Amino acid sequence: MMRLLCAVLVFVSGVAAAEAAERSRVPPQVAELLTLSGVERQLAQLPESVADGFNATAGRFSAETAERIRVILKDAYRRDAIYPVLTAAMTERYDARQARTAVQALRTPLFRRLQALEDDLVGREGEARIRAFSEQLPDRPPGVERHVLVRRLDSAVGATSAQIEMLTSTVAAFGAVSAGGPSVRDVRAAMQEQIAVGVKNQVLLTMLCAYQTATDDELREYLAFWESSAGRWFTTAVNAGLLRAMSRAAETAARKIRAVAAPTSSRP
Amino acid sequence: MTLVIAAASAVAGGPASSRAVVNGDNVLVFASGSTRSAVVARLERGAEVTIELTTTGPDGEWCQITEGSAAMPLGFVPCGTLDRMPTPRGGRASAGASMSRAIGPPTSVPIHVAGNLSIVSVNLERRQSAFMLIDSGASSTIITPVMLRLLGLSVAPDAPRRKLTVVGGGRIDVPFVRLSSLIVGSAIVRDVEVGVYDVAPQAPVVDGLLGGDVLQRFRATVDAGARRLHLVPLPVAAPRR
Repeated sequence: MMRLLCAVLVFVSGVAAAEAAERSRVPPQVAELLTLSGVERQLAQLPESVADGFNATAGRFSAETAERIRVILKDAYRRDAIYPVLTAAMTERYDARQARTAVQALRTPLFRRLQALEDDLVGREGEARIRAFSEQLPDRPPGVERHVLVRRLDSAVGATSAQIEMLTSTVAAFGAVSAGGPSVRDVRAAMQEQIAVGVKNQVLLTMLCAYQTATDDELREYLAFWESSAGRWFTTAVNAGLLRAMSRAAETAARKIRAVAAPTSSRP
Repeated sequence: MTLVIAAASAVAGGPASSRAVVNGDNVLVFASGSTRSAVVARLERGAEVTIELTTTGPDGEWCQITEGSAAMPLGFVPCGTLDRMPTPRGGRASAGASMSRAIGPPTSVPIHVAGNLSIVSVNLERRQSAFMLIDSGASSTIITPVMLRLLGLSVAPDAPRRKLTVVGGGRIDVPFVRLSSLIVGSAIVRDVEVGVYDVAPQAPVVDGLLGGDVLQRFRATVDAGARRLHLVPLPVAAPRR
């Protein structure tokens, strides 16, 4: 499920580097949760995903500048820049009892299987599968109950809200360092309006596609955890950590990119 | 939008669209609010039309119009080619159609654009937000079966049913339910009948379709540039003596 949260970065066309994060004593269960939930593996793919996203707008820059920006982005989103910030934020919210419950849930065969289904939709191949799934929906629509379950899942794990928050924070970070650009508040408000529908649609499509082979009963069991106090604790902690890590990375990268690209472009 | 529901039943619209008279000769009617779109009809001076919606964009202000008792909009004309006139209310209703008016101050809400979909956020039954397509050409407002379930409602066995036409000409039989309220921004429409149908199955984010039956209770203006829908609730006519 947490894998879906990181998917947002596929949309980010230019995000940035992180400063060295403060190291803290991270409870071992935090690391295990990030591994079991797939977040850690997703972070390993982050630099390439962000660089891929930038490629869509790279044509606005000279080849040399574009390459320098790619280097900045990959450096900003490297795993060892993001991970310490994420775990530090989670440690601040650490609750040993909730963490134990969450680890137990994520270790079960059902959760591992559903995580694997989510894994299958990561990357370009996954995007293509989701598009194909969308196109056949009018002919093979999922039942109402399935729709209701994935909406509850979205709400429970905060997938749509977290993605919107991370996207707007990232764009706002770039806006904040752009000379003469709109205010951060304006950027955030405009972004919220522009992307809300698209992000939610993508989240729902992804979930509907991912869990095709799961039964409604399995999804209810999955949902029961995410709606439990342990699930809510984990969701809140991970989302807050990801948001902090991504925002910090974006701010740092934006400063570096501005120094590189300022003469020809005010915003990547 | 893969599926747009248009009126095919005897439903002749909501209670409060604006009547107007064509003030020029051979006024061209366009397929959309732009002179670059196809010409779909011509209107003679003095022809009476109903303004369903006004839009403001780079090409100025355009009025979407219907002719006579037609259920489908004819097209768009520059609003300057029309003279608005006061219209007696209450004459255009259908069996089972809700006649409640909109209340509240003028309001403005963002239009979310996703692909070729224009969507606004509304609140249903004061407890569930919903993303609904804007389609002034549809006479009926529709919600999806999923939204119906999220509202905790169901279709009664004896629920009224109406025939609607979908794009491509197909006719479908749609059950209707009554919602206690539909809120757009700060404008409230109480006691509104909505059809239950999956209007955009390929886009699960779409919870329904905001049709002409609701939009006609307002002076509705789509500001394409600013991506906002402006709604001014129309006043209720005084009862005839």
